[in-house]
Amino acid sequence: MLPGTALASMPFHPMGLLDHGEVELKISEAWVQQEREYENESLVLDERDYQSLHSRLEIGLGLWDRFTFRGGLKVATNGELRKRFDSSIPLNDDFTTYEGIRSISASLQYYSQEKQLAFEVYAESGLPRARETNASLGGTNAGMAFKYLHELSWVTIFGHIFVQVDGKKRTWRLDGEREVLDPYTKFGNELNFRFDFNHFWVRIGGHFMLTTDFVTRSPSLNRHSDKGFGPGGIFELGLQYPKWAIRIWHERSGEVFNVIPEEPNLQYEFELEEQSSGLELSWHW
Amino acid sequence: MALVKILLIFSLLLTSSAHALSLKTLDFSSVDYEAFEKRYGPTPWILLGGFSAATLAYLTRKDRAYRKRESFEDTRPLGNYGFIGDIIGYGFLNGVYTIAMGWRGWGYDDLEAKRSAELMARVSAYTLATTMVLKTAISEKRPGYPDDDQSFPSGHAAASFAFASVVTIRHGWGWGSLAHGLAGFIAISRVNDDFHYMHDIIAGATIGAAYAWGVHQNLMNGSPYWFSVTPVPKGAGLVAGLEF
Repeated sequence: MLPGTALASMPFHPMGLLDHGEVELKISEAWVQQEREYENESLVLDERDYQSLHSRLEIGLGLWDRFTFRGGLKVATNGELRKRFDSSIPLNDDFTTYEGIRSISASLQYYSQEKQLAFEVYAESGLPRARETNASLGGTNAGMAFKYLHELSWVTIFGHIFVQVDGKKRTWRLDGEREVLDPYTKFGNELNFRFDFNHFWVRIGGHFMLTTDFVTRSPSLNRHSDKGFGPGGIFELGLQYPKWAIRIWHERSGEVFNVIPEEPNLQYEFELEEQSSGLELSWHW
Repeated sequence: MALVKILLIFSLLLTSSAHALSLKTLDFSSVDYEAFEKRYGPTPWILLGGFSAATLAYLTRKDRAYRKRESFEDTRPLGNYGFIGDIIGYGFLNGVYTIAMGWRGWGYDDLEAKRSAELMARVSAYTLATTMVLKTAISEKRPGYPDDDQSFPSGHAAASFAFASVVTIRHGWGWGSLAHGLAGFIAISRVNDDFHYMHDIIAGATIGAAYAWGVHQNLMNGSPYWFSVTPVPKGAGLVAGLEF
């Protein structure tokens, strides 16, 4: 749900830039919870709760002068999915566990001479045949980001303006139906403040984005919205040395969509809420 | 589909310099990036990213989104305060800045203030001309008010991001950050109040920011050329000029 690889924090350079020949390896473990709710006047009509452990391996390479490549693999384990439906919905409550390869990702960024501006394109893709039991992303997300960095004596300000298309997702549900999530676009800005104290750092950041319509379709259930927005925030603590770094973080984000109901007097909305807490180790040479 | 074509053509036309550079050679290590950045500044990246983003937002939008009502309260990030962005986004910021800097520049013979006033006046005029012509030529209906066909691109977003970019260029990122925050508020207010789709405000912001950085860069390089869109029978044309 969060915009791609661009949101990842980079210990050795806030924008994740590597000089020609430099290599960075990152391993992280994060507990991720996501809640999808479809509401009418705060009454939840259907709800899906996902929670799992995400393990991520990423390698970064300084390819040429001013170009950095990153490739990553994300695996979900200990996943649990709970589904609850209002009596007016023709589906039954359900529960399942899931685990498997969530996605692979790649990004390429070009940066300015002073390393204060960068342009990144990235993509993240899951197994094509996604099921509720195999944790796959179910499609491809791709986007681009303009990154910026401004250093003051007491704080480093950095962030990025991003646009991301969450591509079409097809997932086979437990009841045998195939659910399709149509592509939609996110556009927004993330802003971070990083305070360095010798080897320690503290980062406080947030983002705001606008989205186009979030639409899900299946033979028994269709949901249509026409626009949305999403805020989010992160708090992070880190310890950094020239060759290695460690960080822990907690982040929360949400998306709210304006649903198109057949009855215009009813106030329907779609809500996606996500939070994660994690630990990451990085090596740099 | 007409809008998609226009977006793509604009993107290709206005970023032709960037495309030409990358086509000259496939050996990235031999490209003189420093010279490229000095010559063009951030304008090609603003145009490439902005119009790509607007195109993606347009392509993933559903046409059935027209509705004669506003969004539900919980799905409006600014709630009922969107009217503030509506009022101040009519170019008042650009006008007040130009008048204030002009008064200081010509009243107290301050050359830097004169330059600030001139840059803001030029950028605002080009931005206004381009957005008005595109609104007329494309005639897209507004999401919450389909009787009005002046949706694309957003004039509020164009004017406010032109203002923010000029403030950044002339006064640095400290004031520029505040100005961009204000421009972002104005742009979001237009979606909040259902006057615009997301691609309208992205395109508007791109036009405003690109003119600001482009005109500034041309003045810095001693080549103060400009271009703008103009209406012609059954379409729109591109006009270019060079001061000498």
